[in-house]
Amino acid sequence: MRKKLGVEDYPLGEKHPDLIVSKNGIKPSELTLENISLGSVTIDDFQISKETLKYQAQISYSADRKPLGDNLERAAEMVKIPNEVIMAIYEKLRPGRSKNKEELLSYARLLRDKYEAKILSAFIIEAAEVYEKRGLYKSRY
Amino acid sequence: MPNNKIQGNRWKRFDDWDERPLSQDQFAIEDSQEGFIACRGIKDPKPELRISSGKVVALDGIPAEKFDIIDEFIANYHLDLKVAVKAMAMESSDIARMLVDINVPRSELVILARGLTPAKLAEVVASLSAMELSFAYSKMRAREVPGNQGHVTNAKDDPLQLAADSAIAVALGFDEIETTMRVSRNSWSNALACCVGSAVGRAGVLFQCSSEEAEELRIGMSGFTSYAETVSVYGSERAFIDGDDTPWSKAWLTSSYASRGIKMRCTSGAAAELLMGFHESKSLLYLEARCLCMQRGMGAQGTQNGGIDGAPLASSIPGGVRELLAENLLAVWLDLECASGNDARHSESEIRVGAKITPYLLAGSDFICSGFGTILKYDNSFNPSSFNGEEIEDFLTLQRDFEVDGGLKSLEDAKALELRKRALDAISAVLEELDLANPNDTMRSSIALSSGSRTTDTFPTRIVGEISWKIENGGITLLDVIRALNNRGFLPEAENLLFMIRTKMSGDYLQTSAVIRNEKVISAINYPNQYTGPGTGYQLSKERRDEIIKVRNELDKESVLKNEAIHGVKEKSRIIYRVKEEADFSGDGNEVVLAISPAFGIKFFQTLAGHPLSKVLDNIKRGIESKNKTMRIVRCLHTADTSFLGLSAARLSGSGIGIGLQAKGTAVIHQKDRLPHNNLELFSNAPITKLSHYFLLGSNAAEYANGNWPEPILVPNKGEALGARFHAKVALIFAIETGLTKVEQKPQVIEVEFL
Repeated sequence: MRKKLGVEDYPLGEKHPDLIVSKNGIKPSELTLENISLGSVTIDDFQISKETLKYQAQISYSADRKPLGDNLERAAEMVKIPNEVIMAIYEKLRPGRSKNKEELLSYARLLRDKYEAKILSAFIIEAAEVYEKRGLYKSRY
Repeated sequence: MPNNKIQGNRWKRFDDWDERPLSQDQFAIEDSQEGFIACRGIKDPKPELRISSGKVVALDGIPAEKFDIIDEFIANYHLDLKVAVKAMAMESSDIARMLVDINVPRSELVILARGLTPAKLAEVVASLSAMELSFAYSKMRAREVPGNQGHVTNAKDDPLQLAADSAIAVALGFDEIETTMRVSRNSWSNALACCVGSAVGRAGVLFQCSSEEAEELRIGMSGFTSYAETVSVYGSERAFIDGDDTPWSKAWLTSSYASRGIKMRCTSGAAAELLMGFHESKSLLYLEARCLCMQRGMGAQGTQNGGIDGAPLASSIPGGVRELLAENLLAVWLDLECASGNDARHSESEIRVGAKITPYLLAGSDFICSGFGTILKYDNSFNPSSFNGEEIEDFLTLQRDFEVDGGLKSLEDAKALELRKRALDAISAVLEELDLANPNDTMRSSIALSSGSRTTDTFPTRIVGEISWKIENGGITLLDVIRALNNRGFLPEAENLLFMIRTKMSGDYLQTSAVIRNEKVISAINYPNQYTGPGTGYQLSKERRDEIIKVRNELDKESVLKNEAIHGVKEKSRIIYRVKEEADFSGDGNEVVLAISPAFGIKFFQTLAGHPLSKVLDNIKRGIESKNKTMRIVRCLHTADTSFLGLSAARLSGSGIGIGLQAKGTAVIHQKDRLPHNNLELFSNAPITKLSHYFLLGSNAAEYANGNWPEPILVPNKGEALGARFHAKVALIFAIETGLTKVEQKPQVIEVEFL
């Protein structure tokens, strides 16, 4: 395990380009006009990786920005979650969209079990409790 | 006794005031109950924080069991209980002093803010004056160098114009550009077009397409956009719920954007809750303090606040504009990047707009405007901004006036057209290669030259919808665009877009206040604001200062003389000046002596009003002769000053009456026994002095010589700011005049011949 990154390691792209790989394992240096003109790669191949987001979280913590670091940790867990699932859960977090606490809790389980997203799962559980307390399970239309 | 002889019941000055743009602005009476209160509302709670066994049990007057979603979120995510006890125990006035004390570093205050409740934060900043708020803002903002963000939209959602206008925004120096649509289904077309335009000229301009949340994320995933700022947050629970969100749903979105490598900031701002009807009789500032604590808690790197859509309403309230400054200060104190409003135009009065931007220009800001209209007002699909395409040069001039960095630089004519053509060719290539549309030369030509969409000849809006549909449903991504540019030889643009993908992979611009300059990410981490007093913090480099002080149509000695030389050629065909003997007192009571300045007819050939000097002399001569006197011309070499010219002329004149006349057209009638600056008549406003006035000047001078007291000639003005219009030129002209003076030289008689 390498030592945690700090503000001195920023910007990552300049200081540690070797640490950066995309979600699908592609290095920034492999992103050239020649390579993309072959046509076999897609934009999804170049999405930011979980690891990179975790490095950035370490940098945020080191800059004494805990909430930003925590957000990047949550984001790291989201990398492998498909867009549709992210947007579906977003929809369920809007007021009145989930019928009851259990509905939100089912998403918390999905996040934990299918996507190994422990932080996100706990975040949804917390929301489920607050929503219950504030009566946010009532449909608004 | 009332005076009944006055017919009418209104001083007409009020009619004048009614005609001013300001009279369009509405103003609201302060009413705390109805939420029309900038700071210190009647229902604003007293700052309070109670902690028990490491948990918040009461926050700003609310016990934990009664927390609404906002209190709950702030207690869980904003408040840092390690510093809270100490921070909350401090006097607000002491904290306020720390904010404006150059000896208290930013970092210390940032730590303190984490332990303060919304009510405490609001109480502290409410106690600062507008000047103190502005100063504290300059000390507390996160990134060292200021920046700016611009809107690029048009009334037709025309992709060709979007590309051309994006290239212009890039050249003007905007770090971020933002688009939105008139017709929401055109979003993909707008995104692609601005993305291509933003790659013309330089790499690294961040771009966003403001649309529906889910769609915005999908557009980002397709690679077209690199940031988002539509994550709105509200300061009362019911407003939040009517906004169809909760702090948890917004925090979820915040993480979603980061997970796709997209920079994001939240949006909040004064008067949003008031507009939505759920203000709880609380002040704008307190509600915004709640918004900002939530945003910090959510882990957003930044905010756009300072009354965004609510700015006009906030500004209708007493102290509203000061409140906007206060809430911006809260944002940076909470260590958030701040795109500081100055977005939706808050007033029809240009004076109010100029005054509002000034503190931000002086203090600097991560983004001075969270939406400067780079296009004409009518093309702004967000609504007109404080500054728009019409007023860009006004903004540039303010930068120059104060030597401050507002993030922008000027643009040369030829360069602008070249960039527009390049962007139009690039977007055309992409549209053709990807089978989206076939723009023609007529379209490109009209868009290259047009200032706004009213004069463009382009696709019907229906076609734009089709383009957008094809991009979305064809799964076209930024890679396809890059391939298209590459295929058609637009290599710099293709490389610039590849650079954006590479940078996105690094996540570097997810950190606080990040922008990209010279292909490097700079943020509050590697370029933090470290202001600690004069000479510290952001300083203009020589290169940047050179950019800032450059505006169009600057004058210098060479340009003035070059322009004069052109008129000199024409004057040669109208008049000949012959130098005769040294001038003496003639004793001829029938004459009026006219003394001209050293450079008159030698270096300068027309007055500031543009009258050829030969015509001026001719009119004065005819004026003098109309009253049966004669004109004798002398040239003074010992002075160029109007008064001394006039007095010298009077002393040489047999009638005791003389006229002084400078090459720029300023003239005086003088009498030999008066003090130099106590003349008979002065014609000081040369730019508005007509030939007919010079005739009357001659005629009056002759009348004085005849021993009469004629009616003085009044040159009417329309209130023009003549100093602004002419003084730079006047000073240059006068320097040349005075440069030609020789103190020892006597006046010479000049014989003129009109051709």
